[in-house]
Amino acid sequence: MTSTVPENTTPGGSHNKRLKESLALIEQRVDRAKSDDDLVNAINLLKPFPTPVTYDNSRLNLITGAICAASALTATILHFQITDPVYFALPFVAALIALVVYGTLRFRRKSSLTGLSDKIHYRTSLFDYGLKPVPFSGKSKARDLGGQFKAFQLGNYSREIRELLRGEYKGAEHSFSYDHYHFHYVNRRTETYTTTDSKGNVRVRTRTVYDHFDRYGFIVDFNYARSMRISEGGLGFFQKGWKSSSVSFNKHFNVAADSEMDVAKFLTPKVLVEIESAGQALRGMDLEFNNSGALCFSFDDSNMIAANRMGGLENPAAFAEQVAGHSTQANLDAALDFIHTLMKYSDNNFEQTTR
Amino acid sequence: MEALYVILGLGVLAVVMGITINNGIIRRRNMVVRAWADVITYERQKNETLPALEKEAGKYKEHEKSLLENITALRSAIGKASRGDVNTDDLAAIEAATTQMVSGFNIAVEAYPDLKMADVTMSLMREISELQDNIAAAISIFNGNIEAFNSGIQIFPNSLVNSMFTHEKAYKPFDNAEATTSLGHSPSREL
Repeated sequence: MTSTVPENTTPGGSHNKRLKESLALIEQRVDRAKSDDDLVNAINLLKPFPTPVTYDNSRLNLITGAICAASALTATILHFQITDPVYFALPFVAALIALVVYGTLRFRRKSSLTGLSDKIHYRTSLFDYGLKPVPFSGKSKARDLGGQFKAFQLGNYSREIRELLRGEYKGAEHSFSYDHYHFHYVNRRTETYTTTDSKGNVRVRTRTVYDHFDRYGFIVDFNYARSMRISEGGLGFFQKGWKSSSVSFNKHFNVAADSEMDVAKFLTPKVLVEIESAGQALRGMDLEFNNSGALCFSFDDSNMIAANRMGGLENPAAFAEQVAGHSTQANLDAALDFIHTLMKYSDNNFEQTTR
Repeated sequence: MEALYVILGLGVLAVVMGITINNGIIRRRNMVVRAWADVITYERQKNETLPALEKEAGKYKEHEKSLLENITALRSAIGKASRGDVNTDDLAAIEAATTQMVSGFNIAVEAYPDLKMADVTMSLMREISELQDNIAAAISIFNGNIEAFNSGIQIFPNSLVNSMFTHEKAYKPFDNAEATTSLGHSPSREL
């Protein structure tokens, strides 16, 4: 068994207390951080702790072990002296409770480190991509967006925006600002179910069920297509509306638009292939161009930002180095490149004024 | 009597299946022809950029003659292709002429850096590049449709329906390395 007690700290509670205090301080600093440097300074608070930084569980292991051993011993004694199985079960119940408490504490201690590492990774991703949180009121923002896009009219019980970030993308031919959002909605439905009582009587009951869903996406200004929706899923072949020349595209996507001419102009072969390719990478992809020249590009996947954390606070020096560098968010890059490609292949090359 | 109903039911089922399969084969064939028409349509769109290219060619003095010859060859190849008849040889001729014209134009542009930076030149180059990307994608879609069509006449029981009623033959996918590499993958298998 390897000891995790730091050499320069006193064993057991003292180490854990210091670590807990340090993590709380780091969290405060992370919440106030304005740059990667602030995050690195916060991580460096863990420098005095030996690597890998973990809680010292030796006392917890000892106490739990002692309770389990005592329970086993008591059970053995009771087995020979008392015949009532209720008393015989008591030591096992005590051991079980001790193990549950042990597991919970171990989980909490581990989560406090991984949770904070995730938070730092998320913040550094925002800094690296210049993403800034936009102030909003969840339900009223969802209502506003519902007036602009059908993608926000999902859910018959409640709708709210849970996160809204604003960023800038600079592409070879187009630059644009975008909003990345997390939309949460709830469907309410009633369902019937049967119960059987002790006498074998079957009763049919109803209950209300709330189904929770999350959608993520981008909203950008898009001046090259209007009043058009391209959605993945459903029975593509049996849907009405415009059909492309691609058997494969028609199988996976539904196209609805006010003008078939506009769809035919926008969905060039290159755009079709790109949409199909993006649809393979994302779940439930939906492209909605409203009549005001804005695009809502939405999907089920939540891994656009802070998707690939390599290290964590367990190794502060390596983690600080990662945070100081530029984090690459492959999914975010791919999604923004995709929007840029849509713009590139639907603009007019001879009318472009900005690069 | 029950056996008669079963036989009748199976007969009706076979007829319905036969009609469905037959219609499916025809639908997929039409999709192949439609995808082919798209490819040729985008090839013909090059015609819209050719007058501007001819005008530009005059600026590249010693390259002018070869540039104009390449443009004429391309225009002639495009003129021969038909939107209705799937003939991949015509497409190969257009792509070869395009490659020659674009490479000749690139050489000329490199020799005149000042002209390279001109807005018209950049717009033309971008237009041609995007047109080629669209043609490559249209070819990819065409090949995908061919794959669906060929599978649709070769798998059982479709092969049976095809040999008895539809009599369609498998199409050969178009394999143009230059057109497809820009998409990052190869199209369907050779038959």
